[in-house]
Amino acid sequence: MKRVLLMGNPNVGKSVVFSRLTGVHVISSNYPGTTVEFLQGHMMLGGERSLLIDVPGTYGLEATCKAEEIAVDMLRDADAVINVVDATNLERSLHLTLHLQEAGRPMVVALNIWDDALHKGIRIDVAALENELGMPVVPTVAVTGEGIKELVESLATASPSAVPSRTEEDRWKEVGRIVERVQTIEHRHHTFLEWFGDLTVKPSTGLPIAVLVLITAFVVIRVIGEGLIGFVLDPLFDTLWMPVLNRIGGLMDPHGLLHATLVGSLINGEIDFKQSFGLLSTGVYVGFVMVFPYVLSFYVVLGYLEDFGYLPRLAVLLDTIMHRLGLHGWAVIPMLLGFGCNVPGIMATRVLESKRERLIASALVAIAVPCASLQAMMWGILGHYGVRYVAMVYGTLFLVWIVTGRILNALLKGGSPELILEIPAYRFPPVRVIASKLWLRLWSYFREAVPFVLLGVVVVNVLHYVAFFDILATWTAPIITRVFGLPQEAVLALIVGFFRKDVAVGMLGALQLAPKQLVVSVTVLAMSFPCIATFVVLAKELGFTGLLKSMAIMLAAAFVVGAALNIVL
Amino acid sequence: MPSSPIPLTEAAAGVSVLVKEIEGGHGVQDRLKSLGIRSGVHVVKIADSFAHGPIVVKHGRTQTALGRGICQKILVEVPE
Repeated sequence: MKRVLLMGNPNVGKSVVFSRLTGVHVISSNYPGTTVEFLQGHMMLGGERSLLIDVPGTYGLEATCKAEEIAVDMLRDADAVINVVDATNLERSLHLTLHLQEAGRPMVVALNIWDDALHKGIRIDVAALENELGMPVVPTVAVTGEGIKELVESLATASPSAVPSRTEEDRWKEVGRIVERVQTIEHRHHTFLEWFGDLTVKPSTGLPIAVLVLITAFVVIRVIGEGLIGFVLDPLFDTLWMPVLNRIGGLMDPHGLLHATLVGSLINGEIDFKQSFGLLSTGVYVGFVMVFPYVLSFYVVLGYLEDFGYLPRLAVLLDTIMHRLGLHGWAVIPMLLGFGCNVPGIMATRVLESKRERLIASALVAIAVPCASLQAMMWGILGHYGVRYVAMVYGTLFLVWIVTGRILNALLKGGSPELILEIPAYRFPPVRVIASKLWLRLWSYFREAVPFVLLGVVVVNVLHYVAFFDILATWTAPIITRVFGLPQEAVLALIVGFFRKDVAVGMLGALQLAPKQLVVSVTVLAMSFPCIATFVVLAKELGFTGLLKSMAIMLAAAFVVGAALNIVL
Repeated sequence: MPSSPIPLTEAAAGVSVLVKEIEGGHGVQDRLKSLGIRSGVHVVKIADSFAHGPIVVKHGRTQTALGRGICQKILVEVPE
């Protein structure tokens, strides 16, 4: 099968072109480095099924970083190349184009973000550019699909380029000459978005705006989440699901294993979605009513900020703070993604340059960044005792984040590299693009998280039935009761936390703890062992020793903080 | 006659300056070069660094955020 590479600078829309060509939907955003692993898909090329590989963005082929080294390797086995170019930024993009040209493969150029270029008064003479490069050039708007068909057609007929290797210096000269000939820029006043872009990156105006953006984001997430729960999902479950569940429960022996597993225990003679702890009661309720609305609202807000292009500016503003933790500003990306789910958060640490940074960032995400599921449960369990208890958990986690980062920064050898980050132009993302990304993320929540929630509930019920936890509770009682000040039964929840933290918090809810005990246990739970999915991805990203290191940090931190909270509160 | 080159950190915000030389190792030089920042290119500082934070520069159609330490290695010429 023919191998076609999709190559270009970071943040020129390769992933969107990839989705268009293969029908495989992938997450894309308006910032460099969204694609951190190779994506493959199939496309039809001249009636032949070919393999299309989405190569992470590179600025050059000098192999100055890992991504570029791999790109150079892949180019050797490629049969054809689709080079995606940012039409609003021709000069920089063309440098890679000329370099790719020297590899002598059949090649086409997709002149992407063409609509934005026109809007900004950039005119590119496509025919002249084709002449200069000796290969087909097709203007495209990948987000709407414009030009994609022509792109495929022209690749089928492209012939290998025959250009001798140039020196770096010559390449830049050539770029300058070509740009001079094919591009004219009408002088325009700053657009509103350009003006706003400057405003949000200057510290004097940018910092207040950042605070405003984050507060707004938080409020919007809460309002959408609460609204969905209170006005849509809770009523829906009460009126539609409750009668069904009562009917099912009526068919079984109320003291049998089947009833305990599926429906759970009756609270005051009735099914309680939050406390019964059956697969069909609490299991389904946690996954669909308590957690799903927050996952949805979080990703709506994050998706918009990502595609608008705000996050790199936030990275610039927070760079100084992040340096204190041994990271640079760009590490806000893994942190923010971690608030949705720790797994993509830890995977995003690949945008960071050194192993040291990746360890620090991964450990911080796993320890101190609560995922959307966990946060939803925190609000669900602690919220009705008063916002200040929820604030205590957030506050503690924030302190832990700072202190752990500072300690790791001091302990680990090496320094934090300096920020070099391209700031993309703001773009109003089309609703369709936002919606399709949201759908991808929700789908992965339903596919990967919900089954674990249900499995967790079943396992807990079975182990409970065989009295396994009673034995374990007696063993661990000294730590749990003396150090953390919790009842023995809480050990159950702390262990289940390894499966799913949201399920574990749900179990705490059923224990009738005092609010302060809840604060201690929720915080310890949030900080200790990651859920199983995070565990796997930590092992994959950091290797075995890295995993052990981060585990040790995690357990030590959870122990110290749990004990401290017990004393302080 | 143009004045002698100064580090980018010293240049005033909002003024187009010419990059004369980039000091430091190949790693930094190559990364800057691939982003389009090399000698002979005009850059404009959008804002001064705050609390030793990064500096955002505009060059051509692109904006890039650079750590302060890197900016000290970028020597620029200020037009008269």
